[in-house]
Amino acid sequence: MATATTLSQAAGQAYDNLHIIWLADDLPGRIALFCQNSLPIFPATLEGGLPVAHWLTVFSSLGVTLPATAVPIVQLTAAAQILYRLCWLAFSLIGNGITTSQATQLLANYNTFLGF
Amino acid sequence: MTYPQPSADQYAIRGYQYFRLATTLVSPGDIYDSTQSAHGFAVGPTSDIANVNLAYFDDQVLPTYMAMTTISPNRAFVGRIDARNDTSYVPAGRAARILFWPADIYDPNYRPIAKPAAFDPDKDTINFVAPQLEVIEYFKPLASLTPGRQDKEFVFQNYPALLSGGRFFLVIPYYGRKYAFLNFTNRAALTSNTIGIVGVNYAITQDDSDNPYHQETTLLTETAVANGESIDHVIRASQHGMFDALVISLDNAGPAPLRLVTSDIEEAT
Repeated sequence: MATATTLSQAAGQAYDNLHIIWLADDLPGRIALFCQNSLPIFPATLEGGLPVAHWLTVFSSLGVTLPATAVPIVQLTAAAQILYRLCWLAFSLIGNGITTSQATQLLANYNTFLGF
Repeated sequence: MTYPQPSADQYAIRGYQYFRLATTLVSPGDIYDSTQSAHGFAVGPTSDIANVNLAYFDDQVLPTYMAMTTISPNRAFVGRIDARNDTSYVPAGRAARILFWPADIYDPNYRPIAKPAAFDPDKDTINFVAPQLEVIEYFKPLASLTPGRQDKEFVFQNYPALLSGGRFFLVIPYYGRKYAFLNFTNRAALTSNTIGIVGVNYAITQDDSDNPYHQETTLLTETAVANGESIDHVIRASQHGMFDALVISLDNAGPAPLRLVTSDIEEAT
């Protein structure tokens, strides 16, 4: 694993990266930080980014329902699947709904809060 | 789906009594929304995707107000499902639309890892039948819903030209299916055509890494079919398992008619 250079790579590393955070018992906190910092990149007024915001909405809701420690392994899978889809969707929407700048900011947040 | 997606609003305004989203998946992350509340959700008859997740507003689900469920060919959801555009999910603070997305994984970047052989980008070719997602949202009260998917028939005949030693891989969606019947005939003038079938369950993985995590199961060992000859093959869930996709490998451009029928009902032996 390494820092993701593209959102498609970030998607592929989603489960592996969250696994490390899960082992460190820090999953809810990291998800919250990632979502808090990423949602403003996709304001509700810009329709092109709404699908990415939908994923961030689902991801943040999952994050606050997780126990602070000892997150069940099925919840790790749920989180990984959401992050995988979120990154893939953002990757596929570059230039077709979201800007390169938005994608770059999202990837930076991924690497800061969820990547290694 | 190319965004923006079709709006459920127009279907409600025009009195359709339902909103039907039928789209080919473009990315593994496709997600859709509805700003209209519903009285039922079901997987549509033409859907290749078997399981669809729903997120919707429920003020008794604290602290997020987001309830989630999954519909499938065997289980529709009948009952009021709220979209609340006047309020928000927590903590995102975004309007509480109904959100839905495939629960099944689709990976158009999958390349055969080991079965029947590792994909060789210099010689091999791969082609995906992109999965169809069909979801129906009902706007009028329903006593019950009888969901279910139709059997699907995939027909092919001619394939890409191949370099010597190369294979053509054809990836066909098989989510939740319990039965498949394949009929293959080699109509090439002189040469044989070698066919194999592998079942794939997609994993969350980096496809360009040395060790992708997808799972592959051989369902039909590669078999050379002489010109003028045919082969039939049946796949049953109880015998072979269940897979996200079937990968058919060939080593000749044909002509070679191939008919694959997939079903949610396992035919008796």
